[in-house]
Amino acid sequence: MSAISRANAQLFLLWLKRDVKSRYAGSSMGLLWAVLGPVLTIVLFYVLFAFVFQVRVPELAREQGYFYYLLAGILPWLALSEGLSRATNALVAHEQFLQKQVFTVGILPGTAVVAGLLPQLFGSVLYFILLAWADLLQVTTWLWFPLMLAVQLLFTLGLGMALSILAVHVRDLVHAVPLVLQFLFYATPILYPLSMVAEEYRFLFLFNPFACLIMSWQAALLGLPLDSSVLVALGLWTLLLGAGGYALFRVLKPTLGEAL
Amino acid sequence: MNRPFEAPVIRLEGVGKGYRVYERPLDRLREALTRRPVHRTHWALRDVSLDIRPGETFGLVGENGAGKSTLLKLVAGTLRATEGELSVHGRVAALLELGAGFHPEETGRDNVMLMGAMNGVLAADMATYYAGVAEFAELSEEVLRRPVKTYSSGMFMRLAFAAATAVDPDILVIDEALSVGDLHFQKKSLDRIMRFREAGKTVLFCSHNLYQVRSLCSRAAWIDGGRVREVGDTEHVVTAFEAYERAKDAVEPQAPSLDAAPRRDAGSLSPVRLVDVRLETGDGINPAFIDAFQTVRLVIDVESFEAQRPFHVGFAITRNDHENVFGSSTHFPRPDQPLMGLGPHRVSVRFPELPLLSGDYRLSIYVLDDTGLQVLDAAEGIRAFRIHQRRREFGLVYLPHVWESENGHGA
Repeated sequence: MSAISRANAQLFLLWLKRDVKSRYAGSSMGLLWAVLGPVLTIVLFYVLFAFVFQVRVPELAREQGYFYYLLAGILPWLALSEGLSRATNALVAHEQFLQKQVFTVGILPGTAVVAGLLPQLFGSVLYFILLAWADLLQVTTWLWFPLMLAVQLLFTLGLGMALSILAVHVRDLVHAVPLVLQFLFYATPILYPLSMVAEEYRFLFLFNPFACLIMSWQAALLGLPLDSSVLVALGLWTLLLGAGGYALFRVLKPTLGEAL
Repeated sequence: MNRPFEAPVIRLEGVGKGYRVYERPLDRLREALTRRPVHRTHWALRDVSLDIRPGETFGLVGENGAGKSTLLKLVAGTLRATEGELSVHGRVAALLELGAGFHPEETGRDNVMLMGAMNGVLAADMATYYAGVAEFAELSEEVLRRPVKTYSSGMFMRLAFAAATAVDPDILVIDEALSVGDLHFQKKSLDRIMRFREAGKTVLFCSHNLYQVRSLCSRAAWIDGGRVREVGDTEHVVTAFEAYERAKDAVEPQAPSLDAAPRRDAGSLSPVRLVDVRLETGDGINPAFIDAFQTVRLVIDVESFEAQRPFHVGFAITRNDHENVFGSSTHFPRPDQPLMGLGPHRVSVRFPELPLLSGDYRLSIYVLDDTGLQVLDAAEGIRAFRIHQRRREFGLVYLPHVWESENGHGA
């Protein structure tokens, strides 16, 4: 590694540490809030959809099957939606700072995305324990988990970086992105299985990159069947959003100094 | 060090930095959609061409908002020029704002580490860097383990300055950061800049402290309204800037009458009251312009309403920026002889060859009690006058002096 990339790697880690620390520092319960938010969200959805709406997952026909299904999708979703929202705001929020300090700009959206990943990793450990308990843990999961994580990271990093620089020029994105993500949450099979959707509409989900990612996660974690078209679409989306987003960031990066 | 034949490390050619200004936020969107320009461009910097050579210490002077900081940011690379060519050769460390990137909740230690990482200090060198910063900032390990928000502003600035300059760049860019902390620390900061200079590094900085610019820089540029007004030898540039500043300050003097002048509220009920204040010169009474080295007489009329009350009269000459130039009072000589007695009194002060140099001045007159502590009546900032001076000595007042030279001394 060259000296510059080593210095950047170090800066990335230090900035990530500060980002995570400062998010919860100062509040008396500290990290507890970081856990409480997602846990309450998950409990709410579980109660609402498993008991009130009586959603069942036919592919996972067993007691509390819905619970495991919900977690498989919502854990990566919370990470990527938090990461993307924060990445969009990352450069805008540091405008003053970037004027006054020479800085490797990509680190700001980068750490925002990676910081969003930490609760997912923590949650996944608990999830794996629950799966093992329920005798649902597949051998293949051990293989798929790091692979899916890499795909998700690539996907969200590229997209997050592109959004962060676009938001400098189009401020509205800071408000629009969380809203669009909220909408996409319901357009992604997280709360419901795809099999509940009428067959002739299922192809539409291929156009939702998040749906492709989440369905692949569910398949990887629970060993559910997955249509090969979803995997192909996920590959294309990852290339487009991950590599494309990063390329767009590189192209637009010089415009940051012009806009500041 | 001035090495004119070396290629410049920093070169600007016709550099400009413009900002698009939109009347309404929606105009930005409209422009993007219709592609019809609806913005105005505000130029923070325009047409700037400068060559800064290796090893040079180059100063920027100019008023607030002239574009000095923008120029420094362009060189540091945090901003990009809208037009023109800018090239910088070598590693740049920039101190554009003290403590940019410091987080108040984090400890001094963590902030220093991050600052080091931002300036490209590698993990292997971090311990050395950290020790160097701590030593220069004169903060103990106990202090550095505390969050930065608990620091005094002096401690904070010392740490920020130390962290930003404890690196080894080829070019150091500093914005107004050389006058932080107490005198002791200011000296240390300047010494550090001097060491950079002696090591042959290039230093580019701006300062409002013209004395610093004079003593540190070999060359300087005066930025005015986003353009380079003068560039070259420091003394030449700074003197031109000073002259401009003075000319701008020297607004038409108005002479408020005694009645219009701000008076202490005790005035009308006071046992001793100011009645009139006059300046008399060879050219008449209360002239707006006075030639330097004329004899000037200050005449103060007061009226006492209490026969048994002793009082004193004092005056102060102040510059238009309220700086006191000279003041005296009848209670200063020992033993003092207070004035006393019912009715009008006249006190006058004669200034033989008034040694004030060019500038705008005002008078403040005080009537004081016998202790000299209580103000019985006062008129402050009245009788504005301007001194015109034809000789070449500069400053506030003329100091008597004799030039001496010795031939063959120390041969």
